[in-house]
Amino acid sequence: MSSLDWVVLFGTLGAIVAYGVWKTRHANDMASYLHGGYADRWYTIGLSVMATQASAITFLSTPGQAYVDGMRFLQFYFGLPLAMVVLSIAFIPRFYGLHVFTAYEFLEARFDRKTRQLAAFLFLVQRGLSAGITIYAPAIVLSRVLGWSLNLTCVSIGALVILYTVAGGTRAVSQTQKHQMVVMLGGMVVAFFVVVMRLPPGLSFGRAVGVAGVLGKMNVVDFSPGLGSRYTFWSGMTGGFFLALSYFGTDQSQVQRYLSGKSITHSRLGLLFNGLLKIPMQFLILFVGVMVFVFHQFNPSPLFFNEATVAAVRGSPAAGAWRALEGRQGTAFASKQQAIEGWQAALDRHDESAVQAAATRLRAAEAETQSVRDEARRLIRRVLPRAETNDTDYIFIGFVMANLPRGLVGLLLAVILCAAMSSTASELTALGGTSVVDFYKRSFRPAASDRHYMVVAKLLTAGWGVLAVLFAAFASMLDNLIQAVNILGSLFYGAILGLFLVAFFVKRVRATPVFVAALLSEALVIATWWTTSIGFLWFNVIGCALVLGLSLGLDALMPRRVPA
Amino acid sequence: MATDRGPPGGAPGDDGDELHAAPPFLSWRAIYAIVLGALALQVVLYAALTAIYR
Repeated sequence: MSSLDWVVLFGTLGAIVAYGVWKTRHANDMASYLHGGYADRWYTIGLSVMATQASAITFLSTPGQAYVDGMRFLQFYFGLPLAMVVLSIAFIPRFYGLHVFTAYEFLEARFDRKTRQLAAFLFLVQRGLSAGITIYAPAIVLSRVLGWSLNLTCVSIGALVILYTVAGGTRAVSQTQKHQMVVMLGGMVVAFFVVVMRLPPGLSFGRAVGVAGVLGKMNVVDFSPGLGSRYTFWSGMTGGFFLALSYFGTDQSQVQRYLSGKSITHSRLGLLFNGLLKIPMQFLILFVGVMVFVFHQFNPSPLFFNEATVAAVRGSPAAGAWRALEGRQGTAFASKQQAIEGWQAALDRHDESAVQAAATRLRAAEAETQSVRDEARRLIRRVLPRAETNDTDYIFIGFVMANLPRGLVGLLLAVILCAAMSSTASELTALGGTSVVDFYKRSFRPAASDRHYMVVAKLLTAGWGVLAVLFAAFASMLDNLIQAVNILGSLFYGAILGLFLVAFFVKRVRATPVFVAALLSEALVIATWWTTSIGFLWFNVIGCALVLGLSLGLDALMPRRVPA
Repeated sequence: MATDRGPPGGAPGDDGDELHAAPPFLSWRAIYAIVLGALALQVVLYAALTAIYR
């Protein structure tokens, strides 16, 4: 990286963090610390909600996923706008009506303390684990790219986030996220234009998208039914809707973002702003990945995108086999060039049968490329049994490092670090706040001063931050950790959402039936996950439906006390 | 609208006016319709994109 890139990277991060700390230097009570003094306007809330959801993995993995799998991941977000409308109508007024600090307080007002603390405990477990992964996942990639040690990268991200989160609380998070989000969106727009400018001069934008289409990358919407396919219109509209409802409605890292609004109107508008912009933003990020794919149809791509792994294979006895695979990939690349030239010439002549023939040749050459990449992965597994053979996260960052001009590399790295910091900051403030409000204040020190709670909240926020960094540092010792944490989240969200839906809409159900129903539902969801192969999105629906059905059934079966 | 809220832990329902406050522009129904209409429009556009570049 050039010195200009370092200046842009540290200048951007430093300016945002310094602004956040300065702007919120007067946070000196619980309301200021946990909800920013209820001063955020709708656009700050909207950008803050989006920045909380957009982790570094969003910017590292999503373009790579589009490169490999096309645009279909976009359907995952189709249920989100509908969920934002439901939250605005049904959730926000109830939270505001009770003036809650955390979403879980509402459950005590409606049911009892044990139900509130069950939901808060489930949140602390899953979000506590996720905070470590939010730091660890980008640190793996960034440490390799920047040449830093993994632990140094984890500690650097964690320390910076803890600094401004503890100093300024929620308001500092919102204020920094507003600017981080602008950097993130601006950076992706710049990346899009750079990749399009790097396409061959004779290739129109429409033809570039056409090449992506021929090779199956423009598969944005899939209306086919079936539970087996992870991303379809139907799974996005149902599973995605329930996931968004659970995440934005019951996860304190999001709830505290919109409860910090200047008024209920600002909170609602902030969420609806997210409902309007989220899908176009994800479209842009995925489309950048598709354009990088098109770029590599005209410029040779590495056989495997993780350079450190490639270097290790080249230094092993399998170096000869690796060179042979690279030779086959080069031949497939030359075939693609010929097929694309033929395809363009046929389009110019309006010769439909020649267009189809060239498209078939192009798909065959791409299939050969994929076959060579599969063989390369098998070779890596044989030579380096512990190496990660999924290189999706390295595709976009590899393109950035190799092809973006000086200065813009620093900007794109700032995008990724901003994303890591913004989502971690929200998680830490929510973990600290929930620990204080739902456990410390509720069960241990109910009558201390406001200042005492704020100091404890800051200490616990810092404590969760240190735990997250430690967890991130040790995460490399565990296999498939990211996948495990993602599944863990999906297994719990449905039941937590079910608790809130019963609280909101089923007035007759009492506390103990809903508490038992939540425990039984969790057990059933985990058993279903263990014994079937249902896609993880559906567990949000199943868990929620089970809590609703079981709480109604148990409430009817359990005897009611007759007033004396 | 846009009044500051009362302190946390206040009695439920003591700010009923704010809970039913109108947005600064349009009506809530119109804003919800815009959000859902934008979703419908995008699905149609993306379906068309999928069909054209199949």
